[in-house]
Amino acid sequence: MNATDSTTAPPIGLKRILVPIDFSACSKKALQYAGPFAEQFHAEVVLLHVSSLNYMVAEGFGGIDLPTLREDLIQDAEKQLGEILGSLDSDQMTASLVVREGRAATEIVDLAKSENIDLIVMSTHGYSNIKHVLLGSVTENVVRHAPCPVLVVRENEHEFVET
Amino acid sequence: MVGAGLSGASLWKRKESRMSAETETAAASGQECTEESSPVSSESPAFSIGLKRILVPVDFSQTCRKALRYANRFAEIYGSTVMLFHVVDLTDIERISLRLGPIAQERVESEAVKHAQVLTLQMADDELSAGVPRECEILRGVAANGIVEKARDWNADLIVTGVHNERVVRHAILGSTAERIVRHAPCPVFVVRDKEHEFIET
Repeated sequence: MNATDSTTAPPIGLKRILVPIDFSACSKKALQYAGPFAEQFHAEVVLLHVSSLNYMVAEGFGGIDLPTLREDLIQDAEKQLGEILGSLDSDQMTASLVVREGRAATEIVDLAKSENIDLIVMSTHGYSNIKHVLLGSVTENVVRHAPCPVLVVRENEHEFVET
Repeated sequence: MVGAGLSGASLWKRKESRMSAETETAAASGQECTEESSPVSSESPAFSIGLKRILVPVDFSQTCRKALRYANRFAEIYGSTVMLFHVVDLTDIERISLRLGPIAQERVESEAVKHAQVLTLQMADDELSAGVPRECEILRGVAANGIVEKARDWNADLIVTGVHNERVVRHAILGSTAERIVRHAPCPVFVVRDKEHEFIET
């Protein structure tokens, strides 16, 4: 344990919070939780979108200009993240955005490691009818492999952050 | 970044800062000193953290001690009550009592519950600060299901749980208890693990 007086608790070193965003309503909900934590602990928020064209459109789609499509997707993601960033109360905290390409869970875990992330806040997905198949497979993989604590929030749940 | 100033419409208002000692001044440098002169408590914040009840499933491992330390810090900051919740796993009881003979099951069960009570109270004493209100409960059943039900019944605001890195066959098939909690919990779940990057001192 530490040598400080027992009445003063050790500081919480929550400096960087990673919020993966796939632009679903549910993923934006994670921001609702990340925000108050970021303010309370003066942490920086990192917004990440993982663009995964590689896994969706194979070369077999003749006639599609893949490089252009990739660029478009990335630019579009940057623009959308920028809009989210702009909607945050940015004088109360610092935030940055990252767009990566690849498999979502892998990129999230990788960024958490390389960027020294202290906490990942993310949501399970709200695919209500097929939830047993698809419910948060990305989230589950992140929970399994993350190098840091993960706060998992979900749609339509008991809340502790008032909206 | 946009320097919109403090407006009533801003999304996230700082409530009160208890961690101000280590603040980086960068965030405040660009704006006037309205922050010091007018406490924001008079405004109603758009979002506020109401973290009253934190449920911590305990299995007496080092990982759940770590979960308790995180819960303890949250409880200190947000004034929450922490519930330590242990599930005496009935499938384990059955397996053990099968080896001990047919009459042993009830005895094994009641001994297990008694022992779990002692361990749970001990853990609360070890890991929670004196001022943090706590409850301890033992249930007989299946861990993940029992925890999710308890979270619902007790109206938990947050579950803080550890996830073990080791895998046994049952976990590989069903997913670990932690994964099943994440899947079915009625509230947000905070997951900590055996060996990881930490943001509180443990």
